Amino acid sequence: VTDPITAALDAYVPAFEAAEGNWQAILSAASVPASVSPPLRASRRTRRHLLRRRNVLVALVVVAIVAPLAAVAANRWWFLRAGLPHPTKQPNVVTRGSWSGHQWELVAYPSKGYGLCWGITFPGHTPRIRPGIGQSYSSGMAVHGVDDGMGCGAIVGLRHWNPADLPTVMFESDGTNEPGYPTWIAGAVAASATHAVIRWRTGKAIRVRTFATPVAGYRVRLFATPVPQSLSPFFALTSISGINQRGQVVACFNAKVVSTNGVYPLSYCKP
Amino acid sequence: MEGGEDRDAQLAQLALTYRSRLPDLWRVAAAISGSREAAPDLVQEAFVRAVQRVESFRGEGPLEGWLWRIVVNVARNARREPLMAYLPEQPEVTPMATADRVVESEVAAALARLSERQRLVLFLRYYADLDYRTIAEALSISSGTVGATLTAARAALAQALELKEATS
Repeated sequence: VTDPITAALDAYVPAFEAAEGNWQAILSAASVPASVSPPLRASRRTRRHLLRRRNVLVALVVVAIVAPLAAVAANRWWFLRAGLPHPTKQPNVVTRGSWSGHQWELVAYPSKGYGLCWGITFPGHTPRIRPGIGQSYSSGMAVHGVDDGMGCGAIVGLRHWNPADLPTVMFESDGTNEPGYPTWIAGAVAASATHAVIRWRTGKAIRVRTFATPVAGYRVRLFATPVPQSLSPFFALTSISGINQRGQVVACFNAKVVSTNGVYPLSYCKP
Repeated sequence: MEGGEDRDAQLAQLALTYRSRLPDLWRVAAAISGSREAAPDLVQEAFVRAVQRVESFRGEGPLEGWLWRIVVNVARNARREPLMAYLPEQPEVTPMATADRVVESEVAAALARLSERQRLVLFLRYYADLDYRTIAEALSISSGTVGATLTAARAALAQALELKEATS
């Protein structure tokens, strides 16, 4: 005979018939390299350092690459270094501003083989560097120290940028424990999107304007925003909508949906 | 055991718990948060936190209890989160809103009349089949309090549902 309390609670939340988790995603979000954990092979000191770092690229495989400080310190642009997509033209500053008192720049440039690339850099700031993590660009993202980050037009199914006005959103995010430096999100949306709305699982959302891309041949607009500390971590982000002047969704990324060649149906995003 | 090996072992245990208890973890998260759809994300978030903080686990109780405490806290916080704080002009259906919400029912109403501690003890006991010690660790109470709370919760729920409480 079923206990009536058990029956009542079974009715309240029925058992999950199937539960398919993703342990590797947890390790990735926690910045623990899946290949070394568990069991971990890196030193305790290295692991602790890795845990401080949170950088994620949704819909992409995330690989963080950091260059030796000495190799990039002399560059005006940290991303102009061996191993990263080579620019075919000089980088352009799309917009600049100040987050938490720190100057930042959103930069875009056309690259050889990877389409449009964009990046966030904090001019004048010498970031802390994690040595020995790797120096090659892979899977659409590179990071520099604890603050700077860049990405190119590479998303699942769209390894190389298609200059068409795709109804999709590509973005990158970088978090940091560097005192005073914010977590941020930057990305590209369809050219008709004047705003981007970023939503978290909690229901919170922020709306940011987009900026024209000063790079010929790429019909996209770019956005960049710091993420308020009160918002949930990046992995709890659920969607990014590109919104046109009439308030309609014209570009969509949804973390809970599998894209088709990198394109998410607009119906999965809200204005 | 050297500290690094400690951590390796703890991570391995977290991974094992994740893989073997996922349906139960989701169920508890759904019950606490009020959202069946949000439960997988909440558990995922809880485990990320656990992995990041595993070195802070002091080994004074079962690791599983420490882990469940994180799951409970993440799910509780999700329920408390105000919706659309940054876009108040854009009301929408969210994971915490209507469509996927755990069915509002007499049971829900009856549970709402319990204290939070009573609900949490019930959920951990019935949905995850945790023993008193692990529940105690998860909720930072004593094992004796777990037993007393569970008895009181059963009685209160039975009364609210006008059930004839089975002898347990």
